[in-house]
Amino acid sequence: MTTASRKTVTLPDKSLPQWRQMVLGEISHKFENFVLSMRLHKAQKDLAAGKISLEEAVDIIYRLCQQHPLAVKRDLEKIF
Amino acid sequence: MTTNTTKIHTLEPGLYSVEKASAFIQDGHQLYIAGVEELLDKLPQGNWVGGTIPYFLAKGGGKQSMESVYVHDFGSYAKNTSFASYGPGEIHQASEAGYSHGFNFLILPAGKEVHLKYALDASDWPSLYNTPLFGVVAGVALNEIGKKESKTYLGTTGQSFTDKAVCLHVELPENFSPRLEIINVFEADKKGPVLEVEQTGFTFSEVLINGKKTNLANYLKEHTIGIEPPLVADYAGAQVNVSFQSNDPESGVTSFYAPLFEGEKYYFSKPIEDYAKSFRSRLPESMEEGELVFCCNCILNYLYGGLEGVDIGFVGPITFGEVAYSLVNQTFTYLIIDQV
Repeated sequence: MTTASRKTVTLPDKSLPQWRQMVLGEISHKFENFVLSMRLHKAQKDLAAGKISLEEAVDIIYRLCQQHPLAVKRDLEKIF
Repeated sequence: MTTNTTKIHTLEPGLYSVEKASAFIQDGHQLYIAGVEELLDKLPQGNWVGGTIPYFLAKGGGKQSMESVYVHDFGSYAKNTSFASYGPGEIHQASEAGYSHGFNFLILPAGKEVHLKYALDASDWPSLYNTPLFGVVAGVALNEIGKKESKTYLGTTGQSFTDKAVCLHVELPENFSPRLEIINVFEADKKGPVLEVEQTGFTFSEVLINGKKTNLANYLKEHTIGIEPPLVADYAGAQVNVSFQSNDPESGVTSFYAPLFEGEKYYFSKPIEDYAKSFRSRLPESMEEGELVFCCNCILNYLYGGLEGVDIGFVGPITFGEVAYSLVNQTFTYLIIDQV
């Protein structure tokens, strides 16, 4: 992952299984970043309640990481 | 650390006299100012938002001050700012009306409809996580609770409110990236009982404890569980506190400063022996990577953690609840700006 500037940050590809594992709570990782934890929790709840699909949940988390690339950098570097 | 705050602040955050704060306003700074009502009422119209509180994290230790106000210059690193007030029907605009790249600083009056509505609804706002939403719940001196109301101030119009939130929306330059984080010394004790509620709310008689309907007030009494530490929920790793407001075994009613949500699992917290020591041990490495520009801590940590006169290395207001996207309690909340 590069962090040269907000506009040029490249996140791990959305097709990688870790994104789905994050959303499904299947990853053994203690998240450091607050917004990522909070948004993941909300997505997991909405997924469990049938309000969103797994693909939508991944989209939501991916988009959040695009919006806050520096904030989530440490977590993503450990997960991917 | 306090030294981190000096790099991009043109005005060092801290306690100042009303005269100094007035001069900062007149000089055109874009400020958050906290203090007692009698002092905030004296400030001139200008680019500032404010909220009442007489307690502060200060150099040399936590303190109560009826003579000084806390001044924080949010404008020194902003590209643009806008100031607004929001009532209960408009409070969602605190996250919607801001800039696409920046943050929103919110001040809520304690215990009012706008505070409760925010606490209940914010987690469902579609735009909540787009940019950091953080801030404070205004308060009053502990011996004035029930006698005096907390107030918020919108300096741009010269108005003050007991029933409206005020918000400072900040747009940041492209090379500044805001990061909202928390330090919570309380941790969910997952070896203990699980508490759940059948309906979201602030006040309860019966809750589910390990799935069984139980009167919480009597349970706390029978198990000699104090209400100083909060209940803790685990939000995908983030430990989110809900603090007890009161517990009355006689009436069988227990109240909280933030809602317990249906569908969440809550736990009693692991015991803490020394708040300041525990706090220092949890300072994350990531705090050093950017510049800490704002922080606040809860009145319950000030009170139960014995922070009066104890310096934990930070300067900021004490609050009656912390805005960290959602409403949290007993939580040190801070904003870092990473520069790229």
